[in-house]
Amino acid sequence: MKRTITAIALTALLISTFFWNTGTTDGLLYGNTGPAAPVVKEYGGRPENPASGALSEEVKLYAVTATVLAIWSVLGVYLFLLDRRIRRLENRIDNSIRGNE
Amino acid sequence: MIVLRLVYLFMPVGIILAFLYAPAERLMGEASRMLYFHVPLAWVSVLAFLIAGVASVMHLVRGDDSRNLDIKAYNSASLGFLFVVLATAAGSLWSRMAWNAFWNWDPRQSSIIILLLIYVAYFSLWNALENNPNRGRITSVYLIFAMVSMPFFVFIIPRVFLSLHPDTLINPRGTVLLGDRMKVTLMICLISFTLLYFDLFFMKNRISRMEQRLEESLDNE
Repeated sequence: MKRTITAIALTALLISTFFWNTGTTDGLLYGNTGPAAPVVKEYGGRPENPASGALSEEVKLYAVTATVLAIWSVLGVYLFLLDRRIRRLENRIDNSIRGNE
Repeated sequence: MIVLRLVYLFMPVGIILAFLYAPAERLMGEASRMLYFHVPLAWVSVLAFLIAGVASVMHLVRGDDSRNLDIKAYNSASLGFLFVVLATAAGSLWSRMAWNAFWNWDPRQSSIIILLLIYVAYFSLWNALENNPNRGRITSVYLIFAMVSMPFFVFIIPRVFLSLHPDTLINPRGTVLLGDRMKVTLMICLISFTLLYFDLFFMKNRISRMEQRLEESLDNE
């Protein structure tokens, strides 16, 4: 159970980093909200080219965040399944103890 | 082990560094942040398959006194499989952003598919031999062959053929071709995913051992 809660907490943390980034993309990417902003805009504002199917920087950031979120969701489900396996074991042990009594 | 609990510290720190500290790479831009998740997942899967192979060797060497090393090998291989599936999915999305296609049969992509199929066959074999008393030995032999073939698919083929993948961390020049901030972030993510693997591996081993003990005690009654 503790592990499941930790997995959920990590996912929540991940989601929150996503909001931090989308809110102030220019400054935070380089850990600098001041002079670095124009430099970042050079990359962050790269125009989308529909002909080549290339994605804009904003879409790429969304895609990376969504992928990482998906990775953590899968790991969370895996932890949940392990937790369920442990719970079943505990129930079996409890039942066998009650049977002996 | 207490060291493994550090995963709860390293993992959030790794995520924060990947999004807020590491700079975007010049050519790939924001898509380059996938590096901090894709590479550690791939590394951990290789590590898991290696450990599964080593456990199989030890199982065959020790024989009856193997202390369930075949089950430990199975647990490691199943974790390796989970991580390699995640690495492939993440890599495919990265490929869409960097090369404009989800899949283009790059040597590394092709070799990872073969590796996945090798381990799918292992799990089929494991399940098919459920009631066979020699399951541990047979599957251990298979895993040793899988371990021997793995470096060929992961390290050799992508270097022999022309690949779209950039130079790996372990490259002929012997240097890590990353900026300092990117290097630090990647190392922290590598450590955190490695700790996560060992934490899950030991937890799965404990569960397997408990299940076995329970079965034995129920059989004795």
